[in-house]
Amino acid sequence: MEMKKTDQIELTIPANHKYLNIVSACLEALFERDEILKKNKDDFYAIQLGVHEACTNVVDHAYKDIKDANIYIKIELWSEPARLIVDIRDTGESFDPEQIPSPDFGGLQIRGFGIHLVHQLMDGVIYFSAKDGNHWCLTKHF
Amino acid sequence: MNINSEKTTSDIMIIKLDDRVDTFSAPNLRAHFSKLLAQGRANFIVDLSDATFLDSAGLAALVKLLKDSREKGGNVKIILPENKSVRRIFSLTKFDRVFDIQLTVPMAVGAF
Repeated sequence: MEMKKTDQIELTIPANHKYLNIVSACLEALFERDEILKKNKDDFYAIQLGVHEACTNVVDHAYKDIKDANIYIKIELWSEPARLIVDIRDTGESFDPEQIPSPDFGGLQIRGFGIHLVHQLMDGVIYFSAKDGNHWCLTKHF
Repeated sequence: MNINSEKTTSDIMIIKLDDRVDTFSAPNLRAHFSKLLAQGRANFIVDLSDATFLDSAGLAALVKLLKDSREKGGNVKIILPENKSVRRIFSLTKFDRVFDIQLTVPMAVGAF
């Protein structure tokens, strides 16, 4: 089956919590206009929160001690099979996702749910480091 | 995010949050909760019925409030919006089993 990329949108935002709502707004606008996404409106929140939590992780950890950094976000829409891929790239510190402990459910743990949520909300989650930086590659199938 | 607080005659603080309760607005929210706790408040209703988005940082502020209020002998009850978006983060983190979730503010007041 031939994989076909229909559209691609790229965003560069300062790595600051203040600007993460721009990513949500962009995804919301896509869900309003794209025919495939319009039919899968129920997935909007999952994608919005999954992408937001990954970006928050970049601000809080990859760029923890780095100022004036950017997050580079590439949103790709594919057909046959229909899916949305979001690549979130940073040039900060990398980390080993395997070393992140699972949250303590049922207690009153305050932090440490972000990565768990990303995995729960998206169909595919890959983290890797490359020459151009660290990538979160998040996929949602429709 | 806007924060609107009012006190009931039974000394319960009702805190209504709207729009995005997220990592950007969480510091303000934590400061607001700390101020109320320092004033001696221990029982809270957090009304999220008009919240459109809640992330793990916003949720963490609510969990901290629950911890602090319980240490003072109080409790936190939550009103969730009808849309399943904000409800989903509670279920994925299993905090829907930790918080007392109520349907309406009057029901939450009555549940204290």
